[in-house]
This record gives sequence, structure tokens and C-alpha cells, in this order.
Amino acid sequence: MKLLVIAVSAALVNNVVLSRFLGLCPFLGVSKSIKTAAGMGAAVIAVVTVSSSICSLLYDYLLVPLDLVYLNTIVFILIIAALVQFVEMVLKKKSHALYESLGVYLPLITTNCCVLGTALTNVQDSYGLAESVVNGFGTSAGFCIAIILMAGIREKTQYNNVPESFKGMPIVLLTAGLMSIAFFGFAGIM
Amino acid sequence: MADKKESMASRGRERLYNGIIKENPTLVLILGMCPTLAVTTSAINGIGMGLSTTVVLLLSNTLISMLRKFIPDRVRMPAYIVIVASLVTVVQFLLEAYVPDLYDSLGIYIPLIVVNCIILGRAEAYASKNPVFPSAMDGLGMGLGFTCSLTILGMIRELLGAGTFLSDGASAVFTIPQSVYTPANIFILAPGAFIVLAFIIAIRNRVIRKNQEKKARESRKESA
Amino acid sequence: MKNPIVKDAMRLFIITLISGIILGFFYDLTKGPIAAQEEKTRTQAYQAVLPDADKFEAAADTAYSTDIEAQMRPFLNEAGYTSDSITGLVIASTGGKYSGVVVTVTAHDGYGGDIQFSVGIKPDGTIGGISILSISETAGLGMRAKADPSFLSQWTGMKQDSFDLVKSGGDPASGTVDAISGSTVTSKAFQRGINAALIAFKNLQDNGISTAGGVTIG
Repeated sequence: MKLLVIAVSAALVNNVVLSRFLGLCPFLGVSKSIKTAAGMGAAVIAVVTVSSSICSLLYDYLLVPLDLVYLNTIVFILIIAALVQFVEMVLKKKSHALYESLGVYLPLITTNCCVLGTALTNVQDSYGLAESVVNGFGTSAGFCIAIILMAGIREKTQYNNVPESFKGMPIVLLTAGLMSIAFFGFAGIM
Repeated sequence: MADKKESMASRGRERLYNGIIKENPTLVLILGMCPTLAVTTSAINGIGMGLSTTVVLLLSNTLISMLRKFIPDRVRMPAYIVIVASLVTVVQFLLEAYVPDLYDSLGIYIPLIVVNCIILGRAEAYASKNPVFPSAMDGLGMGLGFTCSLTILGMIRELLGAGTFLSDGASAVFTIPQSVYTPANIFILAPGAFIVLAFIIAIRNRVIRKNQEKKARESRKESA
Repeated sequence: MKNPIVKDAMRLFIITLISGIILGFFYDLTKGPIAAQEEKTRTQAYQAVLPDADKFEAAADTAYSTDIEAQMRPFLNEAGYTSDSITGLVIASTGGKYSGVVVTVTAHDGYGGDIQFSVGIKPDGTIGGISILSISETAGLGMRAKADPSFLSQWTGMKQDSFDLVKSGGDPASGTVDAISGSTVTSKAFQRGINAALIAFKNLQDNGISTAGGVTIG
């Protein structure tokens, strides 16, 4: 039950992008078409879920016993960078089709703050392994939902007549603002 | 010799101008959006975040430029990440020890400076290819440009959303009386961040477009 | 021919090693000031919730100073407060005479994670005040618990076994308090946390718990 609450709250109520502002760069940058957005979303789900579990294990069984908690930022980011590299290598070897579709987004994920952000929140809220994995999955699923919705809206509004000064980033930010208002509705289910 | 010094100074100035105005990281390059939107619920938070990032950016650009011949090309990304993450952790310790209020209000966004795209972006695009002094100035310029945008955004959101100006949580420089303007809470909340930034960028776009049109008209007149 | 991978790895290792050493140095340097800051925040919070007291001490029995959570857990679970922990207890005295306790509560049911606050309770069960130690709720909504003192001050000077939350029109003197509008989750976390502190207080009385200096609860 508690795990379900964590998952729902991470995915919808406290949506990473729209209420916690994590992972905005890919959200704004790679949301031009649904196809690329879905690819990015899937890659993020994979990396965040796995990195959450590894970081949580390392923190509980290595950093805490050795009294090196203060090194957590540096350890987590190295784990994430290594993991991304590893996923890229595996995909390249095993599934070329998947690599073709996800490959370009993988290097971008290292600097996606929702990955490091989730690893740090897990530690901050003293989540155990199961909770961390669920929180990681929920958070990244929330990212995936938000970026696909955004891409859908952008595809529809591509040919709309937008005021000259609002073309490009401003109209995307306004759309994100309205989506964020809509996501407030989910607060009611808590 | 004097010439070289002169060119160094002018190069530094050019870098500062580039970072603050011409390629302002937030408004033009649209980099480092997460802290930009997340912590700007008040002007003080914006300044705090901006300056912390500036310190990291200045030091990381300097160090990476100094080590640019030592860092092997193939493992440069992990090397940059290690350097930046260490600097961020040091800044985090210093804030926690000496400015605890700011540390509390910036929270998780301090360690997240590591993944601020501006820092790795500048390391890769500028510091890894240029001498120390211009790299340091580049970091300083970009950092100050970032700080300016964050402060402006924070000020507007605070004024519209809480009705205060430069409040530090307890007391403000001035507060708009409730009878004149009732603060609209939404500007402090997430949607307000997106909407205010959209308008700031739109206004900047408009000013630049008008300037260009004016220049184009003038040059047409001259040629005629 | 020397393997270039080994050379790259060596250089990366050197950078990491130096970074680690520098970090350790700064950690040692700032450890003292950080601990001092935390201590200061705590003392200020104690002073704010029980302004009349002049001395705050931990209980001499470590079961009630460092392991207070384990002692109080059964009572809280019995009353249904499973998402609140009692994480601290100090005994206040005025001129060497017992004048109340400060119970530190960590509420795990906040909207943005844990909320930690101290509740000052006078010997007769009257709440002296509530002071927030750490909170990370939504800015502009839940954060108003900290920014707007009118929410927490509802409890100050009230004496009840427990408090209930209402939308508006609450009367603290008869046990109902107003929620922060739009922040039910945060308000509820505080209300339940404060009730948990009151339960802890009730169970601490008449146990003869005293400080090293001989100040006894009850």
C-alpha cells in the first residue's frame, strides 16, 4: 500500500517535470515529436529505475558503514555516468534496432537532473531498496507521461498562428505552465 | 608585451559581455532550466542559487582549462564530472556551515548544480580549448548572466505571488499592502514559473526583433 | 608500446584521488561549524517554544534521550499515529525547577517528505509553542506553515488531549484548529504530529525521568 502511494505520488501528484522542475532540458528540447519523446521517456525509465536501486544499495551498504555519506553526490553521478555508458554499450551489441532509436538520447541522460535528483531524494527520505526502486520507476514514468503529452500538444499546435515574439521557447513554456496547472488536479487524490 | 596584455583584457571583457547579454545562458541558450524555475520563488533564493553556480562555474572553468592538456580526450567527460561534483560538494559544505538559511531553502537543488547543463556545457565548449584567463572570464560571465536572469525571475514571481520585494522570509524591503494588490499565489507555484519565464523570453525576443527591424530600415534608407 | 587505456585510467584516477583528498579536507574544515549551526538552530527552537525556561537538558537515562523513539513507538502505534516518530526529548527547567518538556517530532506524512518540529509542553499539559526544524513542502502552499505564523500559533497556550482539523471556524480552546487552505496534507501532518507529541508527554509523566542535574518530569 505504501509502495503504491509512493508510485502514484511520484508519477502524478509530485510530477518531476511539472511540479519539481527536474529534467526540464530534455522536456523542452526533445519534445518536438511523439516518437522521439517516447524514445527519450523509455530510456529515462530504464536508467532511473536501475540507478535508483544501485545508488540505494551503495548508500546503505558502502557509504553509511564507511562514514562517507558526504561523498554521495560525487559517487551517485559517477554511477549514473557509468551506467549510461554501460547501457549504451549493451544496447549497441545486443539490440541494434533499440540502439538506433534510443542511442542518441542516452548520453543526454547523464545530465538529466531527474536521474541524480531521484537518487538524492531516495536518500533524503531514507527510502529502503524496494521503496527506492518504486520511487525511481514512478518518477521516471511521470517524466515519460509529461514529455509524451507535451510532444502531442506540440505536434498539434505546430501550424497554429502564434504571436511572433512567442514563437519557439515562450509558447512551449506557456504550454508547460498550463499542463502544470492541470496536474494540480492530481493533488486531490492524496 | 603591452599589446598582448591589452588583448587579454579585451578578450576577458568580450567574454563577460557574451555571457551576460549576448549568449545569456537562461534566456538565449535555454540551459540550466531546472534551478532557474525551481528556486526562484523569491529574489533572495535566485541570487543565492545564481552566485553558488557562478562560484562553481568560475572554478570549474579555471581548473578544466588548467588541466586541459593533462585530461585525456577519451575520458574527459568522467574527469569533468569528478571535478564539478567535488566543487559542488565543497560549495554545499560552505553554505551549510555559514549560510544555513539559504542552504535550507535551496535544498536538493544545491547538489543538482552538478548536472546543470551550463557547467558541463561551458567546460566542453570553451574551457577545454582555451587558456586559463579567458576561460575564467567565460565562467564568470556565464555565471553572472545566469544570476541576473534568476534574480529578475525571482523578483517578479515574489512581487506578483507574495506581494513582497527582497523578502528574506521574515522581513521584506517593502510589502505591497493587501488593499492595493492581493498576491496571486499561483506565481509562487510551479505554473507561475513557466508562465513568467515565457513572458520574459517573449519580451526579450520582441526587443531584439524591433532593434533588427530598425537597423534594417536604416540601412535601406542609407542605400537609397 | 604502452597501453593508452592504462594511461587514461591512471590520469582519471589521479584526478579522482586529488578531488577526494580536497573534499575530505573541506569536510573536516566545515564539520565543526555545521554541527555548531545545528546546535544553535535546536537551542533557538527550544527557547522559542518554552520562552520561560532557562535550561534545556537531555534525560540522564539514555532510553529517554537517544532511544526515545523506541520507548514511545508502542503508545503511538496504539493510538494510530504510525507515521509520526518522536525523535527527541529535552527537559526544561527554570531556576533549577522543572518547567516543561520539548518533544521533537518527525512527521513522515508531509507532502514533500519529512517535517521535523519541536513542541514545547508545560507541566500542566499546556502547549507553549511549536517551532519548525526542517520542512520542504510546496512553496506558497504547505510552506505557509512556516511563513505564516498564524497556523502554528493556534496551538499556543491551549490545553487539550488532542486536536482535530477543520476547514475553517475552528476553536482551538475546544480542540479544533483551522487547516491551511489548499494544504490539507501539510496541515494534517502537523496536527497529527502535535497529537503524537501530546501522547508522548502523557506517557512520560510520572515515570520519574530526570536529567543528570536532578530535574524530574512530573
